[in-house]
Amino acid sequence: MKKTVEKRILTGMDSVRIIYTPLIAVAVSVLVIMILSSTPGKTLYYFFSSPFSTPFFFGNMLNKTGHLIIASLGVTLVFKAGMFNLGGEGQIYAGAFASAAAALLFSDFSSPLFIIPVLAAGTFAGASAGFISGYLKNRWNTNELISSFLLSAALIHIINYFITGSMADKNSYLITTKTISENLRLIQLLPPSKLNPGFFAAVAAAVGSYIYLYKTAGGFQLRETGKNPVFAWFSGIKTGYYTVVSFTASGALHGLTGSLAVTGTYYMCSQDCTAGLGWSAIAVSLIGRNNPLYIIPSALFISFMETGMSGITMYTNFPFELSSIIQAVVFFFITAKITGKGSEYVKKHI
Amino acid sequence: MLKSIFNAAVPYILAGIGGLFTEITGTLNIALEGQILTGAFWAIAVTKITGDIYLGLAAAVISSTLISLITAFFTLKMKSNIFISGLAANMLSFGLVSVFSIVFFGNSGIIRIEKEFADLRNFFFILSLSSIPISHYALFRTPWGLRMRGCGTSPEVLYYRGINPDFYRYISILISGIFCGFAGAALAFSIEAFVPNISAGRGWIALVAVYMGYRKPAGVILSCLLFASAESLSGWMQGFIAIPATIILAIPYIITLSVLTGVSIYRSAKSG
Amino acid sequence: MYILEARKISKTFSDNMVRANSNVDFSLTEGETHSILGENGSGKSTLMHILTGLTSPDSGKILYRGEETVFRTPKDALDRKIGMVHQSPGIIADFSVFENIIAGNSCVKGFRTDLKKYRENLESIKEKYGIGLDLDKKPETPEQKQYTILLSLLFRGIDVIVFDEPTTSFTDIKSEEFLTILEKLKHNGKTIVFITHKIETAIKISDRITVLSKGENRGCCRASEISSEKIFSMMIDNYSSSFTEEQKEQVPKESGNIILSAANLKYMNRNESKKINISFSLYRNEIIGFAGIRENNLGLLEDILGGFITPDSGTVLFRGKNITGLPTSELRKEGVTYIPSDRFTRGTSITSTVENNMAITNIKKFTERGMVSEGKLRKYFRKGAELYNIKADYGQPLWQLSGGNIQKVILFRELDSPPDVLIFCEPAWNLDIQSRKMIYNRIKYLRDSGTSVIILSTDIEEIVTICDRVYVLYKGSIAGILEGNSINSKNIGKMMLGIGDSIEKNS
Repeated sequence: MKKTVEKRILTGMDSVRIIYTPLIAVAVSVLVIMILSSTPGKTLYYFFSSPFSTPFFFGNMLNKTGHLIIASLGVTLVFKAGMFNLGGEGQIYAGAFASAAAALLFSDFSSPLFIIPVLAAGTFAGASAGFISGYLKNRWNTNELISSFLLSAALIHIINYFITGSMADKNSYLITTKTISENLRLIQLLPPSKLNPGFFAAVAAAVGSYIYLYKTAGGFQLRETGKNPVFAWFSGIKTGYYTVVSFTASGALHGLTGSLAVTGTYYMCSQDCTAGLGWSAIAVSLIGRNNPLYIIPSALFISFMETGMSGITMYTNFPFELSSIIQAVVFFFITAKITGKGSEYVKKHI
Repeated sequence: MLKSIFNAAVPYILAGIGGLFTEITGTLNIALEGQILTGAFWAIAVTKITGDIYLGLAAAVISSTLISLITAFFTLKMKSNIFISGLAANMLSFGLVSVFSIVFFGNSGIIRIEKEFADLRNFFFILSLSSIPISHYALFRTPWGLRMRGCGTSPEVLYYRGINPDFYRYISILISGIFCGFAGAALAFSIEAFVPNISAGRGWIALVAVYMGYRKPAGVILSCLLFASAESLSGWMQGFIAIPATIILAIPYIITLSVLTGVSIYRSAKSG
Repeated sequence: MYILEARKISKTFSDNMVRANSNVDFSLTEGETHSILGENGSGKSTLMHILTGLTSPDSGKILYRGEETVFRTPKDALDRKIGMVHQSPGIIADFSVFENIIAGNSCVKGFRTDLKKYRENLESIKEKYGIGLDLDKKPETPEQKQYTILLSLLFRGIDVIVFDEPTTSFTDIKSEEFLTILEKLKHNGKTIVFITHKIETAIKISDRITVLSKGENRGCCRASEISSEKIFSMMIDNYSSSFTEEQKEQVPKESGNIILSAANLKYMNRNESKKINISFSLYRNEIIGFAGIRENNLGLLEDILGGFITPDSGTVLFRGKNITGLPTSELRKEGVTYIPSDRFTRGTSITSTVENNMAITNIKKFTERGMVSEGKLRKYFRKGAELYNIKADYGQPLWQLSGGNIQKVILFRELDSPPDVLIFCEPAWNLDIQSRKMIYNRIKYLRDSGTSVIILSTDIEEIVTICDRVYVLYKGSIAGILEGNSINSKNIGKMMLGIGDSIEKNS
């Protein structure tokens, strides 16, 4: 009996890490702010308080959290199937652009129901991009890491071509499409912030993904494919199917993130409006140990950090550029194994 | 035409060789991008301040190496996830470059210099060409190269025989830092300016070139030339057909993706 | 004074809480050959890993020439001229023997270019000890890999060499060769530690013998002063010989009784010398065995029979139905079950839980309206755990289990609904004597209750013990078929190496 208790403790260590990594991250950011800021006390105060200071900041933090949750669910799904989707940036941007384009197409219709095809367009755009990488992987074993990244990079430039060219809003000082009509926007739950029902959809999606991955036969087979594809094939699981499906679903989730960003936050697709979201989503997913339920707090945490950063650039003279340094330092530490000891090289053979 | 291809290829080749060293020891160094950016900034910044292009070159190499050492420390010593610490290194590079740009020049925009770089251009050209035989010799003809390659395929075997794989990984990341410093300097000197986001995905493309080139120096360089040709070709085509500049940026990626797919179709047909 | 001494060494693995060593003492005199005898899981490998710096003990002391020492990494041990040759040692993939040795020895400076000198040095070492190994070839068989490491250690000037079960996968002739090399090593003043479970060999070659059981030292004695019976009783506590040879009914060898047959099965690998070209037939209630060298052809035959590779030509008929090239999962549905030799990549998913590993091949059975029913999974897990006496918890990841228990999980999964034909590769993989007997009995029981069995094994003793008929492979073709009392290790060994086809019968 003692044996099993000790085993539980060992596996429990993993969940402990999820709590202490954010603590380390906060400690590191405090340290960096104290070093870099000329008014550390004030800066620290705004760093911690601004996300909760006004409905505007608080709502936007939750809204951002929603985006991060959905995108990192996409990362997780592919990861669970044993692969890596590096094309999140492009897939999100494609979703955003497709939604904006669809919304502009439907701008003459007054029914808010048309938001459904608008969201679907974005989701479909992302899914198509994901499908290509998954299909290439399955059919010819093309490295999915590279193909998804290249496709994403190409997509970003192609979209920029449209945004700067034929679809540009000539009257705006920004490089952007026209704004979408009001009836196609998601309702603001906490004005003036951009919090919208998308946040709750994101939480629901996380719970749904958890149920799919851990409770259904499909999720079982997807996870087994990821853990050992040879054995999964040996056991009669259609591994190729899960390769393609997980990548397509991942693209769809990324695309949906882009759609939500356009319909619920920016109301237009400006150049690079979703830039960085894909990378942050990978970080969220890794911090959350690729578990859909842990992703919720993990996304909340990253969003809190980002909101805190924008808070201090707004309220103090802390330059915006420094915030990326803080984020970098946090990223360095967030997966560091403080307690790790021994060599990883031995385990393989003993 | 050929000349413009080679000029475009120089930064790719230098970064690609840097990436080759990390790949060969089994280290996925996605921080190449940030290292190039850092190198480019310090090359221009120091040249502008001191007026000496060679000091600028030295600054590029040193700064890029420092960034690579930070990545190496976190991945090898602190055992951070290599992907995340690579992302962090890229963010850090961006942040530091912007901050120093503000400190030195008052803004974080374009920094121009007016200098004659003919000598350096030849230097970069010779450096990138000679890096093929030198890295091939070092990696495939010396005991050191055997150990570097062994690190990538079977680190635990080296460990069993009393050799610390992490030491070789440190070295490989260090080398990638040096080469990316050169790549960044070459890039900045070729347009006689530093522009924010000057690296424009070159670090990533260099990594792709390493994969496509079967992790062999000659293959890496061929892949880099392919990218450079695609880049020059699209620039050249602009003179004839009215293609907007933005879509041209996408062409290297599309060509690479097509080649990558072609290579994998060929490989899977070969293996049956 | 001892060259190396271990005092009160204890070690518990934090992964699976197995106590591998408890208060073990061990000593080594310079120049002696010292055998360590014990079952699988008796802690002998762990002890040696501690003495060569691969693992560190929880408590206890290591003394090198009387001085207390700590070995943190293998390098620390190697610097004191202590090295180990593992059973199937890791070698650097795609490197030749020479490259492996150069890369693996830090005494060769990184940018030395006069590698010729080293090559000459290695050639002379090879000659001195009679090691037959081509420096420019990639080591492939376990034997070549072991010799590569041995050569590497000798090149370094190592004094103490630890061998971990070296001869397990050797043929008789190769074992003889190995023992001569051992003799020469001893002659040249090397200290040798020989880990084995073969009592006779240990007595034959060693000066002293230490017996380990369940992580404890059961005694150390001179080899000349002890009998094998005494050692056996030290190794195993209450051993019951439950292995009884029953009188079996011979099924007549008529074509009507053939359950599975392969005709002119051919496969040529595109770029390597690997090829298969065989025909065979399997009768009802029969155990046939394929003996051969894995790297050359046995592995390829496994891939073809198991459904991983489609042969170029030829047909496999099962109950008259053509099943050539069907994937593993389809074969299973037909009633042909395959247990792969590579239990970790093909046979299990070690990061998955025990019950997932049991249920995976038939997950539909545990699904209600798309949801996996935990109740059904639990029930199934309990059934397996009771039937096969598997020591594991529900929800435990498989890698925490011992080799024997992992084996049982596989057996339960594949045999729960008894197949018509069982293709069983390396049945005794990672098992101690008692579990081995259990498996052999199980195979014979299956045969008697209607399952025909094909055994693929590199362990000749095993083939001799359980098979009714033996096909011996040499260079991808069948070198001979042995039946009845002509099945013995001498005949199989000869045929495997392609020398002589005269069959010696047991008297």
